[in-house]
Amino acid sequence: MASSRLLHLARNGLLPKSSLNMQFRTAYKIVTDELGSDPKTNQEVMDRAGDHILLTEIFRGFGVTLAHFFKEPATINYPFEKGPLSPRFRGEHALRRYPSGEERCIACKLCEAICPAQAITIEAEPRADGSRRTTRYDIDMTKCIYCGFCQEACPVDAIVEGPNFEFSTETHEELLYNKEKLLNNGDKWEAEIAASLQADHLYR
Amino acid sequence: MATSKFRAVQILGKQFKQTSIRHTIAFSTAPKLLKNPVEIDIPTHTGQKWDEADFRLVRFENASKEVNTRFAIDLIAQVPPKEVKSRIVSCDGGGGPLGHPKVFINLDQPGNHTCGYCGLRFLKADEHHH
Repeated sequence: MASSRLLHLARNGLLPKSSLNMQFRTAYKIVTDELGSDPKTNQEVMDRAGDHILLTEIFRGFGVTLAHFFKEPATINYPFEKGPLSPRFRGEHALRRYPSGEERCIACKLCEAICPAQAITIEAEPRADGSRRTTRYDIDMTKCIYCGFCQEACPVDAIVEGPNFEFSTETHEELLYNKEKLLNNGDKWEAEIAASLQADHLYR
Repeated sequence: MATSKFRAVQILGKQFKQTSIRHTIAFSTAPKLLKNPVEIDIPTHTGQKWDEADFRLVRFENASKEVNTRFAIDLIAQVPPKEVKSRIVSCDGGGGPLGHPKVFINLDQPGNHTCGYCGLRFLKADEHHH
């Protein structure tokens, strides 16, 4: 009501326009019936009376409710159900193995070099059987910015960012991952990681 | 109004009486028997392990040491060397684009030849000239 009164005043030039922080349009035509206007013809009167007596709007409302009852719910039961994830999702890191069980990482240190947050630390040494592997592979997950450069740089798909996004901890130290933790992640998530790489290998 | 408030307080009081609010002390002053350091400090694949008297072992009292016991050196040793007829063998880790960069290994020298990427061993089969 207040706004229509303001409108009326502004239209008649009784209100200084500069004093208002709004702009009113003064030249317009209403082409539709005003909301809640009285019915004009007999047909309209009868239609409205019919609607009121037969409770059509109530039943339409019930119909909407019933339709939603049979629809698939838009929500998920989160900790137990999870939403879909892209194969390119970048979550918790993992170190992978070959099917034979050999570690994929050959300590080329490309991931360490590319890491913009310098979160990766690698030390390497020839193993007892002569193969070149890491003795130390640390990722500071609190420095990591999850850019995915490490897995892009890796020539053997050893370091990957898996689909796990639920790895919050209570202490900072628990997020300083070492090689053991990363290998354990790899063993735990290998099925999902392999499926993601398989799904995306044509585009890499 | 006042009586209803009083009634509410009475009900609440009863609830509190029924639930035991006896606190159990989270720590005790009695001497605690520490865990056996041999059991909690499992050596990693590099053989990393602390001395039994090392005070840093206390960190494994409440949280276990993260160790991956599937040592790669043992697992790859279980894969037998593959005998091939040709002088040169190629290895791409299996799975095409999901393996490692393809490498060609010359098998002229006797003995096993290990793929530098995946650790698989190749061996040239002896040619018997009768």
